[in-house]
Amino acid sequence: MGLFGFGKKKEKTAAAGANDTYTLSGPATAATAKCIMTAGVRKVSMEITMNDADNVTLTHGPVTLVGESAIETYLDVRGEGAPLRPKKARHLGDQNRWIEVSSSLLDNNEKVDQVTARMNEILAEQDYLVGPLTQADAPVAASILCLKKAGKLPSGLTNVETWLGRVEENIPENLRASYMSHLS
Amino acid sequence: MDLFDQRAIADDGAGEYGLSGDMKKTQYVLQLLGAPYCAETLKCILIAAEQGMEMNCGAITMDDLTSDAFTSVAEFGMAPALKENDYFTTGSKAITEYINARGLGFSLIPKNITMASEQEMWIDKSRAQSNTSVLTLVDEAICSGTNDGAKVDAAKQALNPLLDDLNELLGKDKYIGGKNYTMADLHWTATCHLIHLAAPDMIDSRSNIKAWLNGMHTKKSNCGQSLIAATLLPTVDDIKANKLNNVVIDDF
Repeated sequence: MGLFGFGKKKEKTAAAGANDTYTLSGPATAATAKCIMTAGVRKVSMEITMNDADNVTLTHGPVTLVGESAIETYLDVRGEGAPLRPKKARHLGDQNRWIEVSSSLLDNNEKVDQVTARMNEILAEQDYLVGPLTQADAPVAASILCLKKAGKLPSGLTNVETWLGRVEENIPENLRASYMSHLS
Repeated sequence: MDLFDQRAIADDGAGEYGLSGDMKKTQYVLQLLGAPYCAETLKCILIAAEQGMEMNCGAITMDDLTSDAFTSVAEFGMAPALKENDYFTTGSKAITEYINARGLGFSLIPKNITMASEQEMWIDKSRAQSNTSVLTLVDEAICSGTNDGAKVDAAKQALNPLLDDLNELLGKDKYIGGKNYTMADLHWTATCHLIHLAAPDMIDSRSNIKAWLNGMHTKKSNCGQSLIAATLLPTVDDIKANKLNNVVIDDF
Protein backbone atom coordinates (compact mmCIF):
# COMPACT_ATOMS: atom_id res chain seq x y z
CA MET A 1 0.00 0.00 0.00
CA GLY A 2 2.80 2.36 0.90
CA LEU A 3 4.38 1.94 -2.52
CA PHE A 4 1.50 3.78 -4.17
CA GLY A 5 1.20 6.48 -1.56
CA PHE A 6 -2.12 5.27 -0.16
CA GLY A 7 -2.64 6.50 3.32
CA LYS A 8 -0.29 9.45 2.94
CA LYS A 9 -2.15 12.42 4.33
CA LYS A 10 -2.23 15.66 2.37
CA GLU A 11 -1.64 18.87 4.25
CA LYS A 12 -2.39 22.47 3.42
CA THR A 13 0.45 24.93 3.68
CA ALA A 14 0.70 28.66 3.12
CA ALA A 15 1.64 29.39 -0.46
CA ALA A 16 3.00 32.52 -2.08
CA GLY A 17 1.00 34.22 -4.81
CA ALA A 18 2.17 34.86 -8.35
CA ASN A 19 2.75 38.55 -7.60
CA ASP A 20 4.53 38.15 -4.28
CA THR A 21 8.04 39.55 -4.14
CA TYR A 22 11.12 37.50 -3.35
CA THR A 23 13.32 39.18 -0.76
CA LEU A 24 16.72 37.82 0.19
CA SER A 25 18.71 39.17 3.08
CA GLY A 26 21.88 37.90 4.64
CA PRO A 27 25.52 38.40 5.57
CA ALA A 28 28.32 38.56 3.03
CA THR A 29 29.07 34.85 3.24
CA ALA A 30 29.24 31.90 0.90
CA ALA A 31 25.74 30.84 1.97
CA THR A 32 24.23 34.12 0.78
CA ALA A 33 26.30 34.00 -2.39
CA LYS A 34 24.97 30.54 -3.16
CA CYS A 35 21.38 31.68 -2.79
CA ILE A 36 21.99 34.64 -5.11
CA MET A 37 23.65 32.41 -7.70
CA THR A 38 20.84 29.85 -7.49
CA ALA A 39 18.23 32.59 -7.92
CA GLY A 40 20.12 33.86 -10.95
CA VAL A 41 20.47 30.47 -12.61
CA ARG A 42 16.80 29.76 -11.95
CA LYS A 43 15.89 33.21 -13.30
CA VAL A 44 14.20 34.41 -10.13
CA SER A 45 14.14 38.15 -9.64
CA MET A 46 14.52 39.18 -6.03
CA GLU A 47 15.39 42.16 -3.86
CA ILE A 48 18.71 41.58 -2.14
CA THR A 49 19.81 43.18 1.12
CA MET A 50 23.17 42.47 2.70
CA ASN A 51 23.21 42.74 6.48
CA ASP A 52 24.93 41.41 9.61
CA ALA A 53 22.39 38.69 10.37
CA ASP A 54 23.61 35.25 11.40
CA ASN A 55 22.01 33.52 8.46
CA VAL A 56 20.58 34.09 5.01
CA THR A 57 16.78 34.47 4.83
CA LEU A 58 14.34 34.39 1.94
CA THR A 59 10.80 35.69 2.16
CA HIS A 60 8.20 35.11 -0.51
CA GLY A 61 4.69 36.10 0.47
CA PRO A 62 3.80 34.13 3.61
CA VAL A 63 6.83 31.85 3.22
CA THR A 64 10.00 32.54 5.20
CA LEU A 65 13.00 30.25 4.81
CA VAL A 66 16.33 30.39 6.60
CA GLY A 67 19.56 28.76 5.42
CA GLU A 68 21.01 27.97 2.04
CA SER A 69 19.63 24.41 1.76
CA ALA A 70 16.02 25.44 2.26
CA ILE A 71 16.33 28.50 0.02
CA GLU A 72 18.08 26.66 -2.82
CA THR A 73 15.47 23.88 -2.69
CA TYR A 74 12.65 26.44 -2.89
CA LEU A 75 14.19 28.53 -5.66
CA ASP A 76 14.87 25.46 -7.78
CA VAL A 77 11.18 24.62 -7.98
CA ARG A 78 9.92 28.21 -8.08
CA GLY A 79 12.30 29.19 -10.86
CA GLU A 80 11.65 29.26 -14.54
CA GLY A 81 11.25 26.01 -16.41
CA ALA A 82 11.78 22.52 -15.09
CA PRO A 83 13.60 22.15 -11.75
CA LEU A 84 17.26 21.25 -12.01
CA ARG A 85 16.98 18.42 -9.50
CA PRO A 86 17.91 15.27 -11.47
CA LYS A 87 15.54 12.34 -11.77
CA LYS A 88 18.35 9.85 -12.32
CA ALA A 89 19.51 8.57 -8.93
CA ARG A 90 23.23 8.59 -9.76
CA HIS A 91 23.07 12.17 -11.00
CA LEU A 92 21.18 13.07 -7.82
CA GLY A 93 23.90 11.41 -5.73
CA ASP A 94 26.66 13.21 -7.62
CA GLN A 95 24.83 16.53 -7.39
CA ASN A 96 24.40 16.27 -3.65
CA ARG A 97 27.96 15.15 -3.18
CA TRP A 98 29.20 18.31 -4.89
CA ILE A 99 26.83 20.46 -2.83
CA GLU A 100 28.31 18.93 0.31
CA VAL A 101 31.87 19.28 -0.98
CA SER A 102 31.28 23.00 -1.46
CA SER A 103 29.78 23.44 2.04
CA SER A 104 32.17 21.20 3.96
CA LEU A 105 35.42 21.80 2.14
CA LEU A 106 35.49 24.82 -0.18
CA ASP A 107 33.59 27.17 2.14
CA ASN A 108 35.94 26.20 4.97
CA ASN A 109 38.99 26.66 2.77
CA GLU A 110 39.85 22.95 3.01
CA LYS A 111 41.37 20.79 0.28
CA VAL A 112 40.85 23.63 -2.19
CA ASP A 113 43.75 22.55 -4.42
CA GLN A 114 42.55 18.95 -4.55
CA VAL A 115 38.88 19.77 -5.12
CA THR A 116 39.45 22.41 -7.79
CA ALA A 117 41.98 20.23 -9.61
CA ARG A 118 39.40 17.46 -9.73
CA MET A 119 36.75 19.90 -10.94
CA ASN A 120 39.11 21.01 -13.69
CA GLU A 121 39.53 17.38 -14.83
CA ILE A 122 35.80 16.70 -14.82
CA LEU A 123 34.93 19.92 -16.63
CA ALA A 124 37.34 19.06 -19.43
CA GLU A 125 34.92 16.28 -20.40
CA GLN A 126 31.52 17.77 -19.71
CA ASP A 127 29.75 21.11 -19.53
CA TYR A 128 28.65 20.96 -15.90
CA LEU A 129 29.73 19.16 -12.74
CA VAL A 130 27.41 16.18 -13.08
CA GLY A 131 26.96 16.26 -16.84
CA PRO A 132 23.74 18.19 -17.29
CA LEU A 133 23.13 21.44 -15.38
CA THR A 134 21.91 20.50 -11.88
CA GLN A 135 21.26 22.13 -8.52
CA ALA A 136 24.99 21.69 -7.74
CA ASP A 137 26.42 24.09 -10.30
CA ALA A 138 25.11 27.36 -8.86
CA PRO A 139 26.21 26.86 -5.24
CA VAL A 140 29.57 25.36 -6.19
CA ALA A 141 30.14 28.26 -8.61
CA ALA A 142 29.34 30.66 -5.76
CA SER A 143 31.88 28.89 -3.52
CA ILE A 144 34.50 29.18 -6.26
CA LEU A 145 33.72 32.88 -6.75
CA CYS A 146 34.08 33.46 -3.00
CA LEU A 147 37.48 31.79 -3.08
CA LYS A 148 38.43 33.90 -6.09
CA LYS A 149 37.33 37.06 -4.30
CA ALA A 150 39.48 36.10 -1.31
CA GLY A 151 42.48 35.43 -3.56
CA LYS A 152 42.44 31.72 -2.64
CA LEU A 153 41.55 30.13 -5.95
CA PRO A 154 44.51 28.33 -7.52
CA SER A 155 45.55 29.57 -10.93
CA GLY A 156 45.53 27.65 -14.17
CA LEU A 157 42.06 26.15 -13.80
CA THR A 158 41.05 26.83 -17.38
CA ASN A 159 38.09 24.48 -17.47
CA VAL A 160 36.77 25.77 -14.15
CA GLU A 161 36.92 29.34 -15.48
CA THR A 162 35.07 28.31 -18.65
CA TRP A 163 32.45 26.53 -16.55
CA LEU A 164 32.01 29.62 -14.35
CA GLY A 165 31.23 31.63 -17.46
CA ARG A 166 28.82 28.96 -18.62
CA VAL A 167 26.95 28.99 -15.29
CA GLU A 168 26.84 32.78 -15.34
CA GLU A 169 25.32 32.75 -18.83
CA ASN A 170 22.27 31.01 -17.39
CA ILE A 171 21.49 34.20 -15.45
CA PRO A 172 19.22 36.47 -17.51
CA GLU A 173 20.84 39.68 -18.72
CA ASN A 174 18.50 41.90 -16.71
CA LEU A 175 19.66 40.22 -13.47
CA ARG A 176 23.25 39.33 -14.23
CA ALA A 177 25.05 42.59 -13.48
CA SER A 178 23.21 43.14 -10.23
CA TYR A 179 23.60 39.57 -8.97
CA MET A 180 27.24 39.24 -10.03
CA SER A 181 28.07 42.52 -8.29
CA HIS A 182 27.18 40.82 -5.01
CA LEU A 183 29.38 37.84 -5.87
CA SER A 184 32.54 39.38 -7.26
CA MET B 1 39.20 -5.96 -3.03
CA ASP B 2 38.59 -2.35 -1.92
CA LEU B 3 37.89 -1.09 1.62
CA PHE B 4 34.13 -1.58 1.11
CA ASP B 5 34.61 -5.26 0.31
CA GLN B 6 36.99 -5.68 3.24
CA ARG B 7 34.80 -4.05 5.91
CA ALA B 8 31.18 -3.68 4.69
CA ILE B 9 30.33 -7.38 4.49
CA ALA B 10 27.37 -9.60 5.30
CA ASP B 11 26.97 -10.90 8.84
CA ASP B 12 27.27 -14.53 7.84
CA GLY B 13 30.59 -13.80 6.12
CA ALA B 14 29.79 -16.10 3.22
CA GLY B 15 29.92 -14.94 -0.36
CA GLU B 16 26.63 -13.44 -1.29
CA TYR B 17 24.77 -11.62 -3.95
CA GLY B 18 26.09 -8.12 -4.47
CA LEU B 19 29.65 -8.64 -3.27
CA SER B 20 30.91 -9.43 -6.72
CA GLY B 21 28.41 -7.19 -8.40
CA ASP B 22 25.72 -9.82 -8.92
CA MET B 23 22.14 -8.72 -8.59
CA LYS B 24 20.13 -9.62 -5.51
CA LYS B 25 16.50 -9.66 -6.44
CA THR B 26 16.05 -6.27 -8.08
CA GLN B 27 19.00 -4.43 -6.66
CA TYR B 28 22.61 -4.66 -5.66
CA VAL B 29 23.41 -4.84 -1.96
CA LEU B 30 24.64 -1.43 -0.85
CA GLN B 31 27.87 -1.04 1.08
CA LEU B 32 28.46 1.77 3.57
CA LEU B 33 31.57 2.90 5.40
CA GLY B 34 31.08 5.13 8.43
CA ALA B 35 31.16 5.25 12.23
CA PRO B 36 28.58 4.34 14.90
CA TYR B 37 29.19 7.59 16.80
CA CYS B 38 28.50 9.64 13.67
CA ALA B 39 24.88 10.80 13.22
CA GLU B 40 25.41 11.15 9.46
CA THR B 41 26.31 7.45 9.18
CA LEU B 42 23.25 6.44 11.19
CA LYS B 43 21.01 8.46 8.88
CA CYS B 44 22.24 6.37 5.95
CA ILE B 45 21.41 3.16 7.80
CA LEU B 46 17.96 4.45 8.69
CA ILE B 47 17.10 5.43 5.11
CA ALA B 48 18.21 2.04 3.79
CA ALA B 49 15.97 0.29 6.28
CA GLU B 50 13.05 2.66 5.65
CA GLN B 51 13.28 2.21 1.89
CA GLY B 52 13.88 -1.55 1.92
CA MET B 53 17.43 -1.61 0.59
CA GLU B 54 19.89 -4.13 1.98
CA MET B 55 23.13 -2.56 3.12
CA ASN B 56 26.32 -4.00 4.55
CA CYS B 57 28.00 -1.52 6.86
CA GLY B 58 31.65 -1.31 7.79
CA ALA B 59 33.13 0.86 10.53
CA ILE B 60 36.09 3.10 9.92
CA THR B 61 38.21 5.10 12.33
CA MET B 62 39.43 8.70 12.25
CA ASP B 63 42.82 7.43 11.06
CA ASP B 64 41.17 5.64 8.14
CA LEU B 65 39.86 8.95 6.76
CA THR B 66 43.30 9.95 5.54
CA SER B 67 44.43 6.47 4.44
CA ASP B 68 44.96 5.65 0.77
CA ALA B 69 42.56 2.71 1.13
CA PHE B 70 39.74 5.08 2.08
CA THR B 71 40.52 8.06 -0.15
CA SER B 72 40.75 5.74 -3.15
CA VAL B 73 37.05 4.86 -2.69
CA ALA B 74 35.78 8.06 -1.04
CA GLU B 75 36.85 11.12 -2.98
CA PHE B 76 38.36 13.87 -0.82
CA GLY B 77 38.16 11.51 2.18
CA MET B 78 34.58 12.44 3.00
CA ALA B 79 32.50 10.11 5.14
CA PRO B 80 30.14 8.35 5.26
CA ALA B 81 30.83 6.67 1.92
CA LEU B 82 28.54 4.47 -0.17
CA LYS B 83 29.15 1.94 -2.89
CA GLU B 84 26.58 0.28 -5.12
CA ASN B 85 28.30 -1.98 -7.62
CA ASP B 86 30.34 0.52 -9.68
CA TYR B 87 28.82 3.67 -8.20
CA PHE B 88 30.45 5.55 -5.32
CA THR B 89 29.30 8.61 -3.43
CA THR B 90 29.95 10.33 -0.11
CA GLY B 91 28.21 12.48 2.45
CA SER B 92 24.88 11.91 4.14
CA LYS B 93 22.95 14.28 1.85
CA ALA B 94 24.07 12.40 -1.24
CA ILE B 95 23.60 8.95 0.29
CA THR B 96 20.21 9.50 1.95
CA GLU B 97 18.65 11.12 -1.12
CA TYR B 98 20.18 8.49 -3.41
CA ILE B 99 18.71 5.65 -1.36
CA ASN B 100 15.43 7.55 -1.04
CA ALA B 101 15.27 7.67 -4.84
CA ARG B 102 16.43 4.06 -5.40
CA GLY B 103 14.41 2.42 -2.64
CA LEU B 104 11.08 0.67 -2.58
CA GLY B 105 8.98 3.03 -0.45
CA PHE B 106 7.46 6.33 -1.51
CA SER B 107 9.75 9.34 -1.25
CA LEU B 108 10.37 10.85 2.16
CA ILE B 109 10.77 14.29 0.62
CA PRO B 110 7.44 16.16 0.54
CA LYS B 111 6.11 17.02 -2.90
CA ASN B 112 4.84 20.41 -1.70
CA ILE B 113 7.81 22.71 -2.21
CA THR B 114 7.14 24.90 0.84
CA MET B 115 6.98 21.82 3.05
CA ALA B 116 10.08 20.35 1.39
CA SER B 117 11.99 23.58 1.99
CA GLU B 118 10.83 23.77 5.61
CA GLN B 119 12.01 20.20 6.06
CA GLU B 120 15.41 21.26 4.73
CA MET B 121 15.62 23.85 7.52
CA TRP B 122 15.07 21.11 10.09
CA ILE B 123 17.55 18.82 8.36
CA ASP B 124 20.07 21.65 8.41
CA LYS B 125 19.54 22.01 12.16
CA SER B 126 20.33 18.34 12.67
CA ARG B 127 23.47 18.56 10.55
CA ALA B 128 25.33 21.84 10.42
CA GLN B 129 23.95 23.19 13.69
CA SER B 130 24.08 20.01 15.82
CA ASN B 131 26.79 17.67 14.62
CA THR B 132 29.77 19.13 16.42
CA SER B 133 27.95 19.32 19.74
CA VAL B 134 26.51 15.80 19.41
CA LEU B 135 29.96 14.43 18.58
CA THR B 136 31.34 16.15 21.66
CA LEU B 137 28.66 14.63 23.91
CA VAL B 138 29.18 11.14 22.49
CA ASP B 139 32.95 11.40 22.68
CA GLU B 140 33.00 12.68 26.25
CA ALA B 141 30.38 10.21 27.56
CA ILE B 142 31.11 7.10 25.52
CA CYS B 143 34.10 7.03 23.17
CA SER B 144 36.84 8.54 25.29
CA GLY B 145 34.74 8.69 28.48
CA THR B 146 36.68 11.69 29.77
CA ASN B 147 33.48 13.58 30.68
CA ASP B 148 35.09 17.00 30.55
CA GLY B 149 32.48 19.15 32.28
CA ALA B 150 33.24 22.34 30.40
CA LYS B 151 33.04 20.66 26.99
CA VAL B 152 29.83 18.82 27.87
CA ASP B 153 28.21 22.00 29.19
CA ALA B 154 29.16 23.94 26.07
CA ALA B 155 27.73 21.20 23.84
CA LYS B 156 24.50 21.08 25.85
CA GLN B 157 24.20 24.85 25.74
CA ALA B 158 24.46 24.77 21.95
CA LEU B 159 21.89 21.98 21.62
CA ASN B 160 19.33 23.20 24.16
CA PRO B 161 17.65 25.85 21.96
CA LEU B 162 17.40 23.42 19.02
CA LEU B 163 15.85 20.74 21.22
CA ASP B 164 13.46 23.26 22.76
CA ASP B 165 12.28 24.27 19.28
CA LEU B 166 11.94 20.63 18.27
CA ASN B 167 9.99 19.83 21.43
CA GLU B 168 7.61 22.69 20.70
CA LEU B 169 7.13 21.54 17.09
CA LEU B 170 6.40 17.98 18.13
CA GLY B 171 3.75 19.25 20.51
CA LYS B 172 1.73 20.33 17.48
CA ASP B 173 1.94 17.26 15.27
CA LYS B 174 2.89 13.61 15.17
CA TYR B 175 6.03 14.09 13.10
CA ILE B 176 8.51 16.83 12.27
CA GLY B 177 7.05 16.55 8.78
CA GLY B 178 3.57 17.22 10.11
CA LYS B 179 1.12 14.37 9.59
CA ASN B 180 3.60 12.28 7.63
CA TYR B 181 7.01 10.83 8.40
CA THR B 182 9.62 12.63 6.29
CA MET B 183 13.35 12.93 5.80
CA ALA B 184 13.52 15.49 8.63
CA ASP B 185 12.18 12.88 11.07
CA LEU B 186 14.82 10.45 9.86
CA HIS B 187 17.62 12.96 10.40
CA TRP B 188 16.49 13.87 13.90
CA THR B 189 15.97 10.22 14.86
CA ALA B 190 19.69 9.64 14.40
CA THR B 191 20.62 12.87 16.19
CA CYS B 192 18.25 12.34 19.14
CA HIS B 193 19.27 8.69 19.45
CA LEU B 194 22.90 9.67 19.98
CA ILE B 195 22.00 12.51 22.34
CA HIS B 196 19.87 10.08 24.35
CA LEU B 197 22.74 7.61 24.63
CA ALA B 198 25.22 10.27 25.74
CA ALA B 199 22.99 12.59 27.80
CA PRO B 200 19.61 10.94 28.41
CA ASP B 201 18.27 13.85 30.46
CA MET B 202 18.33 16.13 27.42
CA ILE B 203 15.71 13.94 25.72
CA ASP B 204 13.83 12.58 28.73
CA SER B 205 13.15 16.09 30.05
CA ARG B 206 11.38 17.02 26.79
CA SER B 207 8.18 14.99 26.76
CA ASN B 208 7.22 15.59 23.11
CA ILE B 209 10.63 14.56 21.80
CA LYS B 210 10.65 11.56 24.13
CA ALA B 211 7.23 10.41 22.90
CA TRP B 212 8.19 10.97 19.27
CA LEU B 213 11.50 9.10 19.67
CA ASN B 214 9.66 6.20 21.32
CA GLY B 215 7.41 6.21 18.27
CA MET B 216 10.44 5.97 16.00
CA HIS B 217 11.49 2.83 17.91
CA THR B 218 8.18 1.13 17.12
CA LYS B 219 7.39 2.49 13.66
CA LYS B 220 7.60 -0.07 10.85
CA SER B 221 9.57 0.80 7.76
CA ASN B 222 8.30 3.23 5.16
CA CYS B 223 8.38 0.58 2.45
CA GLY B 224 5.83 -1.60 4.24
CA GLN B 225 8.12 -4.28 5.64
CA SER B 226 8.00 -5.30 9.26
CA LEU B 227 11.54 -4.02 9.90
CA ILE B 228 11.81 -1.20 12.44
CA ALA B 229 14.64 1.00 11.18
CA ALA B 230 15.52 2.49 14.56
CA THR B 231 16.34 -0.98 15.96
CA LEU B 232 19.46 -0.93 13.78
CA LEU B 233 20.86 2.11 15.57
CA PRO B 234 23.92 1.38 17.73
CA THR B 235 23.93 0.82 21.48
CA VAL B 236 26.59 2.23 23.80
CA ASP B 237 28.45 -1.08 23.53
CA ASP B 238 28.28 -0.93 19.73
CA ILE B 239 29.80 2.54 19.77
CA LYS B 240 32.58 1.43 22.12
CA ALA B 241 33.27 -1.57 19.87
CA ASN B 242 33.08 0.63 16.75
CA LYS B 243 30.42 -1.67 15.32
CA LEU B 244 27.71 -0.90 12.79
CA ASN B 245 24.64 -3.05 12.09
CA ASN B 246 23.84 -4.25 8.59
CA VAL B 247 20.44 -3.66 7.02
CA VAL B 248 19.03 -7.09 6.21
CA ILE B 249 15.67 -7.37 4.47
CA ASP B 250 13.98 -10.73 4.95
CA ASP B 251 10.38 -10.22 3.87
CA PHE B 252 9.80 -9.34 0.27
